[in-house]
Amino acid sequence: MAASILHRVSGIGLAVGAVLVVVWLACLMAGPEAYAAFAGLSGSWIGLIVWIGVSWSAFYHLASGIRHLIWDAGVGFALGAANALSWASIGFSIGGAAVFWFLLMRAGAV
Amino acid sequence: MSSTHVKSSEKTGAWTWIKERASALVLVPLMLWALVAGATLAGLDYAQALGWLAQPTNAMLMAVGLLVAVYHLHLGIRVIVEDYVHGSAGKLALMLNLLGCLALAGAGLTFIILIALAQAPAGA
Repeated sequence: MAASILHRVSGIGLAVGAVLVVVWLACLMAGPEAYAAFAGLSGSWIGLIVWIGVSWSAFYHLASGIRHLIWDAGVGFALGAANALSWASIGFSIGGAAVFWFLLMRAGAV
Repeated sequence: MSSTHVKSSEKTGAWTWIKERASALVLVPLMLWALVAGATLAGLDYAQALGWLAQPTNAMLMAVGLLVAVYHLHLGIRVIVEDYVHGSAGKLALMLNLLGCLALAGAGLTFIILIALAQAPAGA
């Protein structure tokens, strides 16, 4: 149930991410000043919160989407298995996002 | 209506179901690529970002990824609207969903092409 709502929430999060990608493209086309402005906003604390949200959405929607595809194949419907898949999606998304940002910080990109 | 009175998908439901799953399957590898691309781009300055997009593989995957993602997004928002918004407000929301997704995909694709053209050697 909660996992299903999260699938929609993360989908909306990825919609925000898609808009941001197109804005990034517009800034890249507009020139160095616009690009620097986008990079500056992305690196600010509010920008980082948004990007962390988008990256978590990506990991969650990916895992949860694969969970749905497994169910569509007619597998994993037993209550225990279904719950396990849901928890695995949540765990994967938190772990994936954490590793993603750890690697970014270690590379000095953030 | 079948004699068993089982509610079946009488118009386009099954087709919509297939479109959702097909785009989802295509997006699995594209999303993994997007995460790698996002991590790569996070540390790049203007010239490096242009150089990244100048590689045909990157521009191509970005264009295809954006198109399939926005298509999938349109299907997803439609399900949410149909669940929560009814009547004429729902119809308006569905139209805004379509227009917004078309605008997003159109703008993204245009920007990718224009950036590629601007970087092409003169006379090429």
